[in-house]
Amino acid sequence: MTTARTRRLASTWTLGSISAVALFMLYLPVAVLVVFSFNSARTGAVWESFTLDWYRSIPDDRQLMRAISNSLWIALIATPVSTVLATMLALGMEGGRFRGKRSTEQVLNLPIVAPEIITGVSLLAAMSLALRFLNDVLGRGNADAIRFGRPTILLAHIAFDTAFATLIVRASLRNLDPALAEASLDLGATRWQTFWRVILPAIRPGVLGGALMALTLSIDNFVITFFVTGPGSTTLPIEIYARLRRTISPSINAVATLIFAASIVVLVAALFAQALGSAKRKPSAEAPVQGG
Amino acid sequence: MQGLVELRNVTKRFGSHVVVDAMDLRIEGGEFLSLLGPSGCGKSTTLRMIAGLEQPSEGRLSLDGADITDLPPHKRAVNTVFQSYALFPHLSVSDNIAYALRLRRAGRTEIAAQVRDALEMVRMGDHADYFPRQISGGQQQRVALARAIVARPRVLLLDEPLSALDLKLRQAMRLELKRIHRQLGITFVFVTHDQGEALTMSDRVAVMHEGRVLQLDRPEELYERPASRFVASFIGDANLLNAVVARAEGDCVTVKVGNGELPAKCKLSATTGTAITLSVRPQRVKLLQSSGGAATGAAAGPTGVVVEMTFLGDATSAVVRLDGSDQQVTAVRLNVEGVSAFGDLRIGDSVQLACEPTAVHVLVR
Repeated sequence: MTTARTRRLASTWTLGSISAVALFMLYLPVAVLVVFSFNSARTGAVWESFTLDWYRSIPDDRQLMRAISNSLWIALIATPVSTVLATMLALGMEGGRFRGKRSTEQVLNLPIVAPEIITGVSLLAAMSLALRFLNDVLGRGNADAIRFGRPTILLAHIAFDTAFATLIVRASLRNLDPALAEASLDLGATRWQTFWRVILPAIRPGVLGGALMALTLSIDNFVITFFVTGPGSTTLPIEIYARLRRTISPSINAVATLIFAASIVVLVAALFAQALGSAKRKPSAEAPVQGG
Repeated sequence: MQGLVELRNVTKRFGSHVVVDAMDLRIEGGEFLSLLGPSGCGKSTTLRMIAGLEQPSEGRLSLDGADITDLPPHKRAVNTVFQSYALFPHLSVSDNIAYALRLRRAGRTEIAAQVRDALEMVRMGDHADYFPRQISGGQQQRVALARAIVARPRVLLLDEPLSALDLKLRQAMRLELKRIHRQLGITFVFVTHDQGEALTMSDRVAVMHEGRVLQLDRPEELYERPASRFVASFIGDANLLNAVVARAEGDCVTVKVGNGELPAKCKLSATTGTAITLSVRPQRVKLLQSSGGAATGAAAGPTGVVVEMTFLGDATSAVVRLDGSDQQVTAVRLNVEGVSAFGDLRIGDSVQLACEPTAVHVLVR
């Protein structure tokens, strides 16, 4: 064996072991969580026996179910709304030369670079003002006042979802040959037709990626949501946190495992959709003929 | 008579930068017209204004007598072949070609027939179901062409369509484009910086420089009778020499260059003593080997020393530095059976220049 080969083998081994350790550290807690969601012991660290009781208890836990439905309601509205907004913003930002483009860009990136706690506090302050104004205008008193709740969380989520999704859609637009849109116009399409027939299909991976990002961020968000939530509108992350402060409940392990499983399903589905999309574009197995 | 496309006093500014400068251009129906010039001369911008992808800052454009200056691109009977081809990546070859027809809501069978015809026209009939990324650059080029001609535009605009192809393919496509132009009979406007492409394909060539058309003529005229120093140097190779008019008799002048004189034909009325530029193609420069002193006579050519001899494959070039000046002249001769047509001419030899009067072209400086 030559020394060069030995060295190469050694570096491969080093790299491999470091990666293995890193992955192990990353997934060990998740594995513990999954395992203990099937543990019949009520408290923590001792394995008793296998059970599905914690999963069965979820539907009966009305508070938990309410938190799950709040989270889903918010995420499922915030995702499409912010994806559409993000696509429109990205088209405007990438397509046009206009005054104030750079400052628009900075403003748009603010929710991404600013610490979440700042965004949370400022949203709380702004929304308090807005709600007071709204209640004054509508003449609502203490009894029927509009308060913090799902709508305020939804607005907050749309705000930061849009910022992140715009970033992703813009990246895919930037890779787009500007001549594609011109070719479409040239061949007789209006701008509207060009968007639907050429631009949207071409940036679809970016738009879907942005949507997926928005969905994840929305389901996941804790800090900002914490500031703009109200009675009865607790989302899942906040509910989980509240329960853990009291006692480590195995049903939380079960919920977390379900979320983890759901994200894996979504991820695999996305990969499948991608693979299907590219398979559809191959008309035959035969290699394309090269040359003019 | 009215041209099919007419540009009148068209100016395009980007900010304070003038890209196309008060341009007048008249494109005849059915012709193959090239816009030729170095990059940044405004040729692509001119094309884009005809397509409607750029708005002129000033001036008017008309197509078939109708003003189209304010018409959006999708309402102009003009189609473009883009430099990057701009094929829609998510559509198959046949769907790419059918794009314009579908927008016009043509019937299914009609679309199928026209797409097939267009594919046949560009010889891509067996690639209808491929996607753009599955075919080669040359094939993409053909598909882009088919997509642009399928809707039978009045004018086909081609923006440096061959520049991304390799040399062999480029030369093959020149012939293909000419054939398609003949078969379709529609007007082609072809933008290129390659004078070879422009000369071989075009009925007429507009040489552009700094946003203006310097000369619009048939390729033969441009080559033989360039109107300016820029055109002479841009079209083919040319020796451009500083000279002074020595004598003028009718349309024949004798010019003094270096230490000798050359006869020239000149349409311009040049008076004795005028400083001019001579343009002589290297193929038309004769080198006479002078033994000893310079020959004398009424119009004895300038003498010089061979400073360089280069074998070019099918020809040999010799560079001569003129005596009594720092000007150089290049002469080219075809080789005969691999033997230099300059005979035993060597670097360092003294020679005398000679040219036919018709080979020497006078440009006013």
